[in-house]
Amino acid sequence: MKTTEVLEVPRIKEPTPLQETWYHLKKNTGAMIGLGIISIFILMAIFAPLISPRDPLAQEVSERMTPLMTNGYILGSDDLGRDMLSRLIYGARISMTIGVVSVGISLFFGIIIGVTSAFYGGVFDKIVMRLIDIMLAFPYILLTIVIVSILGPSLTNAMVAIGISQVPRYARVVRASVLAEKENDYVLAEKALGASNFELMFLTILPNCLSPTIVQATLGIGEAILNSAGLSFLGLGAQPPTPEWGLMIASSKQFITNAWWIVTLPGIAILLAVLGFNLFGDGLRDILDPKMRN
Amino acid sequence: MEDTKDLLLSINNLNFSFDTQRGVVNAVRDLSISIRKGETLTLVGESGCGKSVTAHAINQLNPMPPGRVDSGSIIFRGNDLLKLKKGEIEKLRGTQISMIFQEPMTALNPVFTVGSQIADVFMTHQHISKSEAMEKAVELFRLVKIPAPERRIHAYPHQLSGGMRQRAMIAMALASPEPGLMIADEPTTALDVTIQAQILDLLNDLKEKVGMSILLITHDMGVVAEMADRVVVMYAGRKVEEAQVYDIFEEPRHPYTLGLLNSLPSNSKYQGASRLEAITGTVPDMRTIGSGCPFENRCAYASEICGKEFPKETALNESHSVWCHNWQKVQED
Repeated sequence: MKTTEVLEVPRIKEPTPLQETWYHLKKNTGAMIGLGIISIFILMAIFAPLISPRDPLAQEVSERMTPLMTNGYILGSDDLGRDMLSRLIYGARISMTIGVVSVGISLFFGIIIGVTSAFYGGVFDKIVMRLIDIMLAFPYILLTIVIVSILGPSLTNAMVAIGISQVPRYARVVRASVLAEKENDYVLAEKALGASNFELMFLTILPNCLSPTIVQATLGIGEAILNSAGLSFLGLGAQPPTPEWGLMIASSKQFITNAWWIVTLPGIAILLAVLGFNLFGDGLRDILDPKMRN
Repeated sequence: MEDTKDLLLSINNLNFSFDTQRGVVNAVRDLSISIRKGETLTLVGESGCGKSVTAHAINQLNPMPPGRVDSGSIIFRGNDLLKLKKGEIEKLRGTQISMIFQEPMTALNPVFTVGSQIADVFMTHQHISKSEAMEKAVELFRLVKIPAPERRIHAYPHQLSGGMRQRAMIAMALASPEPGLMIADEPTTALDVTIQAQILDLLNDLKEKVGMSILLITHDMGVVAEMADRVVVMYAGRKVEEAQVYDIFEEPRHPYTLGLLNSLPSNSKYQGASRLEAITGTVPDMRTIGSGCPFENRCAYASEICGKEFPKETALNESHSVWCHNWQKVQED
C-alpha cells in the first residue's frame, strides 16, 4: 500500500510588497532624508495648534519686524508683528493640503483617462491623446492662470487649477503602463473567468501600473506646492491674511533689505518641502523600477 | 448521428477570419466539432493552425476586430453563443466555461495573492463573503493537491513554482459553480515532463470528480494519448481527420496525421535509428490558400485533384472521418 507522507512546510514569513519596498528604501540615503523632511512637515501640519508658540494671525504692532531670537520670537516677526515661526508652521498645513488635494485631483482624472484610453485603444485613444497633447502644449502657468481667472482667485480654486493642469502628465504615465500590462495573459485569464471591462481595467490591470504612478504622484506633490506658492505670489492663490508661504514672500518682498527673514524663511520652507518630496520620489523610482534595482 | 441529449457543445461550420494590414487571414475554415458531457476532445495541430482561435471563439476571447465570425454557430447547452449579448457571455465565462492557459508564469495577476484571486472568482459569481470565499479557495487548493494549502493561498504567484502555478490556475478554473466545459490551451507546454504527467493526471482525476468536459488543445501526441477520448486533427484552419484516440494512433488515414505520428521519437520504427523523420516544407501562408487541400504542397500522396478542391468527408466508421482524396493510398501503406 502506498502511503503519502505530508511534509511540514517550514513557516517562512514571505515579505509583503510593502515590507520589501521599505527594506530597499532603508538603504537609499536620499530617499530617507526626503522621507524625514516630509515627516517633519506632516507632523508640523497635524500638530500646528499645539506646537506653534503664538496665533499666526495675531498682529503685535509694537513688535513689527523683530529680528530672529529676540523678545521670544524664535524666527522673528513680520511687517505686521505676526510671529514668523507660527505662520510657517500653519503654512505647512496649507501646503501639504494643496499638495495632496491637487495631486489627488490630477490622479483621479489622469487614471480614468489613461486607463480607459489605453484599454479601449483605437479611435477613442487617438482622440483622447490628441486632446491631452493640446493641453500639454500650453505652459502649465498659463493654463492655471486661465483656470483661476475663470473660477476666481482663492486657495480652493488654485488647487483645482493645479490639479487640472497636471492631468495630462498622469494620463500619459498611466496609459503607457496600461498599454504594457494589458497584453499579459492574466488579463485574458481574468476575462475568461468572467470579469467585466470595468473589473479588468481598474481591478486587474491598474494595480499592476501603480508603481510609476506612485512615483509620479510623489514628485508631483512637491511640484504642486511650488506651483501654488507661485500662484499665491502672483495673487491668484491664497488671499491675505492666510499664512501661505508663497503669499508671505509676495507681501513682504519690499522688506528684503531691512528684514531679510520675512522673505527668506518662507522661501526656505518651500525649498525644503519640495526637496523632501523630490528626494523621496527619486528614491521610490529607483526602488520600484525593477530595472534600476540590483 | 449523435445523441443530442449528451451533447454539451457543438461548433457548426465555423468560419473565423482576421482582417490584417496585409490581407484577410482565414484562421478557421468550415470547422465542425462537438463535445459530449464528460468527454475529453483534443484539438491537435501545429502552431498557427487555428487551434487557439477555435478555443477562444467559444467564449469569445478573440480580439474583435480584427477578428470576425464569417459564418457558423457555436451551440453550448442549447444556446448559440455567437448570438448572446456581451453581458450574457460574461456571465457564462468562468461559470460554465472556464479556461486554463499555456503560461502559468504570466496567467496569474502578479500583484495579488493566488488565494485572493480565486476568492474573487467565488465572490463575483456566487456573492459570498470574503472569508467564506477564502475557505473555498483552500478546499480547491486541496482538491488540486497543492501541499499546505492554508499557507499557499497567501503566496504571490512569483513565490510558487511553475507546476504549482498551473495547479493554482486549474483551481481558479474550477471555482465555477457549475463547471461544464474546461478549455485547456496547451496546459502542459511550459512545464517539465514529470510535472506534465502530474498535471495531466490531475485533470483526468478532476474530470471524473467534477463531471466536466475538457477541450484540450495541444501539439503533443504524447499528451493526446494520455488524455483524449476523441481527437480532431487540424491543419491550416481545417479539420482533416477526426476519430477515437485509438483509431488515430492505430489507423491514421490522413497523410498529415501519419506525418505527425511518424515524427514521434517513441515511434517503434526509430529503434536504433539516429534521425527523426519530419514533415517536409512549412505551413502555407494562410492568406493565399485557395480552394484546394492546404496540405497539398507537403503531401507525399498528392494528386492533381488535391490542388483544386478540398475533399469531402469520408466516414470510415461511425466515429472516424477523414478529409482526403487519397486516404485509400494512405491505408495501403
